[in-house]
Amino acid sequence: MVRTTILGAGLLLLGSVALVSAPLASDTSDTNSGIDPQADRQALRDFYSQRFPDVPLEEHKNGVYAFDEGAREQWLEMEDFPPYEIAVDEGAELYEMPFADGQGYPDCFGDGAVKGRYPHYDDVRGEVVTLEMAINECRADHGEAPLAYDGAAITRLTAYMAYASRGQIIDVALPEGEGALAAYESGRRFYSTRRGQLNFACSSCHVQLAGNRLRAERLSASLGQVTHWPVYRFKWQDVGSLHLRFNECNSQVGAEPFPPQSEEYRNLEYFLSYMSNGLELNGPASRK
Amino acid sequence: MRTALLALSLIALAACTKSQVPADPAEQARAAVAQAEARYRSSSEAGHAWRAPKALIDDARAALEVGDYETAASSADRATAMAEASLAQAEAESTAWRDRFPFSS
Repeated sequence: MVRTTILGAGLLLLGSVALVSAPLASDTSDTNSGIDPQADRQALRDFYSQRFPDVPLEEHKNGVYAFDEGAREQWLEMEDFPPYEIAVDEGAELYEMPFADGQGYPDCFGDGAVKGRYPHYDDVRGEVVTLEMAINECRADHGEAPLAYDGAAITRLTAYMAYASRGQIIDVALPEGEGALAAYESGRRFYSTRRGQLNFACSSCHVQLAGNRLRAERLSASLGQVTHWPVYRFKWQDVGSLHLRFNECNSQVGAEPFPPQSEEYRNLEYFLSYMSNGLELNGPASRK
Repeated sequence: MRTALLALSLIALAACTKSQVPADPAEQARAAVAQAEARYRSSSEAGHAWRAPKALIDDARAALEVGDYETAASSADRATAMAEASLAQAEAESTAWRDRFPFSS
């Protein structure tokens, strides 16, 4: 009797251990299990459809001008004499300037309308590759020194290339492999993680508070945040990159920012770009 | 036995007396700055550094240089407290971020 009870208890214990350990085993076998970028993107689109029922999702490529009528009117008037135009012209000149070996950017990027190819996850290299990185790699291939990622030259080149790429549709490949999913997850996590003394995440402003005012400014939606770079910001009195804006946002909440083209910011760009799949590239643009 | 107890008591008393003697302010300030730097380094490694502690550490170093040990120690202590807060933030955010976005997974 006692033996049977002990045996029964032992089997129950063994069964419960097996039940508990089964999901744990599958969790550890694939560190990216449970990440579903497609479902995330759909959830985000559904969220903004509810938050801004009168704004077509595609219109978020224009940031706050998608839903702030007064600001939109001012912005459209500014577009008559776009402040980024000089940067585009200067970028075109730089683009056509040959390297010391007689080759140039057109040998790497054709007519320059390649913004739609970036960012992407490179499986061989195991990292996210951005347009800025590709520009410097093109230079390195032709024996040229790299451009500073926070310098004027690279921003002017990307302004020209963004202009040449206008109308392309963001189509970042679905992150599927382990490396791509890890990069996507890293970007997703960065976007949602509170940082700095003010304890703000990117999502605090651009998801939870999207459409509200922060002092005199409206807060844009995450969707469309990557479509229009580089941007001429009146605050900067110049064109600047998306990573410069990331850097500024982090600084504004009291966090120590990361350098432009750091792994953290490239993964963040990758995540945001995947979220904006289907939206039109419309850079460069002007913002307050 | 009594002699041994008396000797031990005297040693303990001497140790207490020694610990109550204020340390050299310069040494104290340097130790405070070193501690702040270490905690700030930890927060950087966690990817959660704040800007304010870095500025306070710079202030503390500058004060050390000119021999203002009180300011150096005070700035360093504030930097340490803020670096600790940023590490607590990193710890809390290691899981909290998942509940913050309309994600499915």
